[in-house]
Amino acid sequence: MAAWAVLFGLAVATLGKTVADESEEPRISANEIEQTASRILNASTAREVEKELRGKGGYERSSALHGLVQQSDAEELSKFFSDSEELTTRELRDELQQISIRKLSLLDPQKALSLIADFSQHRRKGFIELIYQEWPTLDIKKAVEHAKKLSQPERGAALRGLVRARPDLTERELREIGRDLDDEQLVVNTIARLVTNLAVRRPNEFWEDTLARYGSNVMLMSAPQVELLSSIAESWIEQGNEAEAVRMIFGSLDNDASRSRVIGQLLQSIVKEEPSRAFELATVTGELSRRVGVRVMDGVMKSWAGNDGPVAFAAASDIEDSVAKSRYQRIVVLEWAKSDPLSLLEAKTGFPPHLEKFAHMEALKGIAGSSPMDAIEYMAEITDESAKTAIARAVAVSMAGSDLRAAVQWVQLNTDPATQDHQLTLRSLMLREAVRVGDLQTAIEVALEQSNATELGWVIDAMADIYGSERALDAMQHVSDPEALKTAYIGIGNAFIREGKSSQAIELVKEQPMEYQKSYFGRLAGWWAEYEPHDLFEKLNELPSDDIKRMLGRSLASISARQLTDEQKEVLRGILSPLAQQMLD
Amino acid sequence: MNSKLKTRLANQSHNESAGLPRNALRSSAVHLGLLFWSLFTFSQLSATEVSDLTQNSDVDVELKRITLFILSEFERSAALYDLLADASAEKLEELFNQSSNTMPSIRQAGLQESIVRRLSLISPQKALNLIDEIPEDQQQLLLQAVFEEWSIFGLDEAIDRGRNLDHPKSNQALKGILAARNDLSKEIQYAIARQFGDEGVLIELEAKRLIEGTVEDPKKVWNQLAADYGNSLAELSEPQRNALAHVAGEWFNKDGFKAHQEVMEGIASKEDRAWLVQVLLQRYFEEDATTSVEYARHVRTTDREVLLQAIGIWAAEDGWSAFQAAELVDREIKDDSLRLQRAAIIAWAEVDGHTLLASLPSLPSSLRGWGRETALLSMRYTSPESVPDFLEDIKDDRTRRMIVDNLVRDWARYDPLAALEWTTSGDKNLPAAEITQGYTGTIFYEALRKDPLSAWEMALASPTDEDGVGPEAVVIGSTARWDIERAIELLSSARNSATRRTALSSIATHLIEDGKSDRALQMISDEPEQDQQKHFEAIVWNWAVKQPQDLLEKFDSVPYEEVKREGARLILVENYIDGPFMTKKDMEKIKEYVAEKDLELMQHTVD
Repeated sequence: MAAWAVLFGLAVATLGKTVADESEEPRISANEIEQTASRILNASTAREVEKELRGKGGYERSSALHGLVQQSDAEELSKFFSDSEELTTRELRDELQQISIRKLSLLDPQKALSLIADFSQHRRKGFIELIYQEWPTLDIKKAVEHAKKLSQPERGAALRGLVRARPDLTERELREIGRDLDDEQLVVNTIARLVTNLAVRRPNEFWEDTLARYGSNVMLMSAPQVELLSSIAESWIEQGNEAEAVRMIFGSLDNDASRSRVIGQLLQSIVKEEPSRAFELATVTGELSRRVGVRVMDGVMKSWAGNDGPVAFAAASDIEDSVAKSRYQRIVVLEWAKSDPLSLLEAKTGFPPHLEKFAHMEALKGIAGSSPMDAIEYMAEITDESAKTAIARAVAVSMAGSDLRAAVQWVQLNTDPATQDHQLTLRSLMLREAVRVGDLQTAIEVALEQSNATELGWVIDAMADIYGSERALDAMQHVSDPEALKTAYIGIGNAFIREGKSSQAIELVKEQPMEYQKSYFGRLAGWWAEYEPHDLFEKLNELPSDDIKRMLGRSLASISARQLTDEQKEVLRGILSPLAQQMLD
Repeated sequence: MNSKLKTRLANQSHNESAGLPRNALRSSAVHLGLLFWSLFTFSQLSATEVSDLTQNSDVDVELKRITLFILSEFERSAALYDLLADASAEKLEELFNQSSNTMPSIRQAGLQESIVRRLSLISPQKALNLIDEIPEDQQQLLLQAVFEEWSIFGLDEAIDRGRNLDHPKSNQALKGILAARNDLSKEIQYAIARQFGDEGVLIELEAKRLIEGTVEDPKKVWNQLAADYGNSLAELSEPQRNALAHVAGEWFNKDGFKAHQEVMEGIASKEDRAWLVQVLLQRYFEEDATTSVEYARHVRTTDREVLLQAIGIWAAEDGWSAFQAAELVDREIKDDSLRLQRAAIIAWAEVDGHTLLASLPSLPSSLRGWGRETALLSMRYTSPESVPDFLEDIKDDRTRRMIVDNLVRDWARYDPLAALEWTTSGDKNLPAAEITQGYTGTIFYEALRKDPLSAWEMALASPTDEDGVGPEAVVIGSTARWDIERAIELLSSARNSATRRTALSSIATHLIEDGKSDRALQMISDEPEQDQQKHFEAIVWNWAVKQPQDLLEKFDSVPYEEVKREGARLILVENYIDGPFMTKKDMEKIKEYVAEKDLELMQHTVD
């Protein structure tokens, strides 16, 4: 067995083998199980059965219950099932009912179905699946006929049960039943799920057979089908001559996207345990097609670097092709910076010069995410202004997520030009982050404390975006600064439009001067025209001036002409200048 | 149980099974059954395995019978319990090995679980040893089963053994213990979980129990869960999220959709609300389309944006179902009868453009063209190599051009070499040659932004254009945007004089844009006489447009009449559009180079 596991290349973690002092006597003997069965046989009610079974292990319970139920007739099973409904221990109730309904389904399936008729949809579906794991073994024709009368989700449960019950039927036969029940794909998916991850002894034959049934365009397959193919591919490469297996898999698929998907998924399944092997197979893939190779190697290097940056970097550095080498080195650095930025920071000194700076910056960005204070320490070493600014952004957002005031203080006290010159941007990012994590009150307070009163507008804009117009409107009571009001109006106006309340977006600024309104609607125009063109069209006549109407009409014509009907276009022609009308053609 | 049943039990054989086919099989004896196995094959998926098994005389005959000839899961379990009842540890180990090595894979899990449970009652450690020998991804449920059994008769031992296992095995052990010992108080269960350092398992287990049952007072349970779980759904585990969705569903069942508002009030973030709406909407749609429409209508009136997002989340998982649901709901809506369908298509395209393209014929005709564009535009990120194959389906040239422009730029960001290969492949779906040539600049610009070293290597390995200019000219020119000195350094590595000349013009252009025209002019004057005019021709447009006053000032130092005429025209246009910034005196300076048709523009002065 161990040899078998090793052959399959699967890591076998030890569970310990200290068995010398163990007794060979069963903790629960067959005799005891029989006694349990006998006692529950003597029980006159389901409650008494429950009492007997409480405190027993799963094997003992199930074995005794099977013994009991095996001997019962339909009438007894029905009563047993119904009585069990009153049991207080839900797990036991479920077990008793499941076993009894399975047996009843073999004796009188219609009766079994009638017993669950009043159950909730959720429970009913579960029992239907059980009934259909039994009934079709006796009379598949009747079972299928009955399934046709079930609701769609119940039919699905029946189909899933039926597929499990009849592995003796070919997939073709099962799919035909699926078609008969209006869900062939469910059959395909259920079969795929049943056989995925099981050891396949002749994967090459199974692969060919599966593709013959599914076709060779993986991009049109369902997730369970793709899982199955990946699982067969996995078994295939476990059997040795894996490079050849990859070549065969590559050649059998229809297009590069399919190849990338299956081989990519296959390599992902082995990269964690055996990254070098995944790397070699990605290289083999790259020899067959550079494009596919790039995609699968990207995935391998990302996973490898996430687990072991230094070794992944060494592997990337050994690639001969300089363009590929540089690509994968950078990918490794990016992932390494996320998983272990401190070790990357140390290792970067051994990198080629063009990568050292890049690695330094990415490492500090990574550190900023988890320990912003440490990143601040390291920032002093950086000379490149743009890199410093990028790290300052990461630090500011990271700090603001846990302590907005500390973050604001850091930005205020920081004398570095890379931070000072970008104060406003940083403050805007920090306030948004505080709103995002739900620290709304502090965000409002901090914004109000600032000399730049527009900042409250940013907070409200973020609130409208993340939580919706209602919450943002609540915060409007704090706004008095005209600039903040403007930003807040735009945020709330956009939210109103997204929420389907564009009339309120128009209403919101109707007391404001016309120039103000023009600027406001100008800011709303792009999104409104792109995502809600019909709503915007409907609202054109509600807009406060012809000028604004023309402006938004132009947005509609330039952004969403293809979504408008001929009638709508005709109306727009009446509003727009001849030049703008051309955009409608 | 009644006496009738007891009598029957006494009279009936131990292995009796129900159902005619099984009776027939039983009477024909196992050996005959094996001979005729082909009449009773498993599906083609496991036919070869069945063949192996029937020919293997080392396998326990009863185990073969159970595996091959009993279809009913109930009958199989009952027969298996009979087989295992008196089995010794050695026999159980043998059966387990046979199940792992020779049984059809589709039957393995069920057989192994029963064997392992039985063996756990004799020697849990032996059971663990057996599990140790099978692939890790098949161990989880079996581990859980061992600890379920073990914890019934030896809780302390089970805890002690389980918590010393490596993760995730210890996690499976804990799941087994807690599932089996739900008779223990919550405090004790938490204490056990703490010993494993894994209290999350208990929380998940409780959430799962909640999902499986009916909730008597969903409002109360909802409020309790909200208090326990906090208000961010994104941070919860899947069972916790499912428990919340289940309780919300139960609440709606009890109080109708008016409870929706109360549920949503506790969930601040739109993303979280959208997730919950999507789960419920999907459930209603599967159960009863009318209810799903009713629910969607309800959500729409209170939280329309969330409904759109919910459809998007659903479409990302299952585009076609989400689209069908969207279509149903849209039918009810008068103001924008395609809005939800568009939201479904956008999200569907983002994750699976291929199936969306394949489903276009099933979409309403008014959405097909837009759906195709949306799919192809999204595939430029997810599967750019697939896009060229679908371009010929686009009949409108402008649309095709728009998609190709976007494809080239974003493909180049991901894999510039692949983008370059395609744009130089002569594919019939590429735009006219003069446009396609321009893509080379786009590709090298993007390559440079991503990785300067690779961009340079790639350029040197690529052929020249018709004028003999290598793409490294683009790389040098683009480098000059960020680092003039580095660009000047690279000049000497250009493959030939044509490339060097083009690159130098780009550097000069950037110098001028940066207000360093003196240096640009100096560089040009150091070039061979025959090249200088070409440089001036190359830089004049940018000079006039970006720094018109500087060009005006240095107008006399431009040595070529043609360049002066073009420069004068461009300055006048700039002065007209962005000015006026020219004085009458300035006009005099350029007057002799202004074409007659442009004289009118000279009226536009500051004085």
